[in-house]
Amino acid sequence: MEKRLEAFFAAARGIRLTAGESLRLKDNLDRFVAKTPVRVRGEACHSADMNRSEIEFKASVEALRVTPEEDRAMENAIFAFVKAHPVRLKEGEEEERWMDFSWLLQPMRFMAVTASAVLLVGAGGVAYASASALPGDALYSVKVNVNEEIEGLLQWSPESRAQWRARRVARRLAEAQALAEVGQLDDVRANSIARLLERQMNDAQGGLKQLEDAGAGVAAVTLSAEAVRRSIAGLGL
Amino acid sequence: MASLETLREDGFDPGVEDEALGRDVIAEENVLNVLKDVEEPYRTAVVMRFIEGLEPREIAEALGESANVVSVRITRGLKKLSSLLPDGEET
Repeated sequence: MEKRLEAFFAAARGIRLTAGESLRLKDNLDRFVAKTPVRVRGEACHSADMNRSEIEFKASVEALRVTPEEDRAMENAIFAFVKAHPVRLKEGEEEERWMDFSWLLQPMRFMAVTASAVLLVGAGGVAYASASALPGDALYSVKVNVNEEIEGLLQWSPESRAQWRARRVARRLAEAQALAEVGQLDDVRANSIARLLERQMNDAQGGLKQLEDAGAGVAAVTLSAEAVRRSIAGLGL
Repeated sequence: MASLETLREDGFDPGVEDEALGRDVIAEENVLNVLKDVEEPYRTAVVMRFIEGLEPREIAEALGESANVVSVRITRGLKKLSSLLPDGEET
């Protein structure tokens, strides 16, 4: 590539939002979305604190109980799957670890930041409401195909992208667990999760291979059954 | 798709117009102005490829296009960008 183009892109990559600017951007975006909610049959789909699907989901979980046997069987199935399909990540070099603290501190990502703003606002907050959608929910497709893809665009180093891919896999497992707990893990939903899992596992492993090929990273981390257990616990169920 | 300008008219403030904090804001503005003059969809393709550092395959997946289409956009975007940069400019 021509030198002047290289110099141009180097300058472009160097443009950063300061931590303060990033926080203000996020605050303002939150406020704007809260002020202009999407309405379904006259009702706002989300509140400042918690969206309705989260409230409904928690309520349904509280109302339904799985037997200890069902719970154990589901966990065993998930952990066996994870064990058979391990996802390994390599952590970045020490000086690059700060990148993982938050995308807010990363260099400005022109397209991704703009696209997320446009999608969050342009879609009128649907992306917010879908964050807790589960397979079978109308918003699940938005969550998987829009929210998560944007989240992926915000991962700008190969390391953080690989970690994001692994988080995505953990999310699918957590969703399976969540559905099982409310007795809704039917064949259709299980298949839908399994298909996504297969694709995303491949992505995650592909990302790891890229890291290995590039000789990046120092410590290997295994997405163990324990990590998945923690991610499920993180749902607060 | 709504532009940032449209969003601002609707009341959205990105909150990034504050202090320079020692940055070379003129150089940064130049970069943004030049990029703005590359038309879509070429701008997005070039930004994703050379600023975001994504592979054409990843861009294709994110945009729902084929890798060939993305590659053509990158090439055309680069050509346009090259024409916008004065010879020998070290932006």
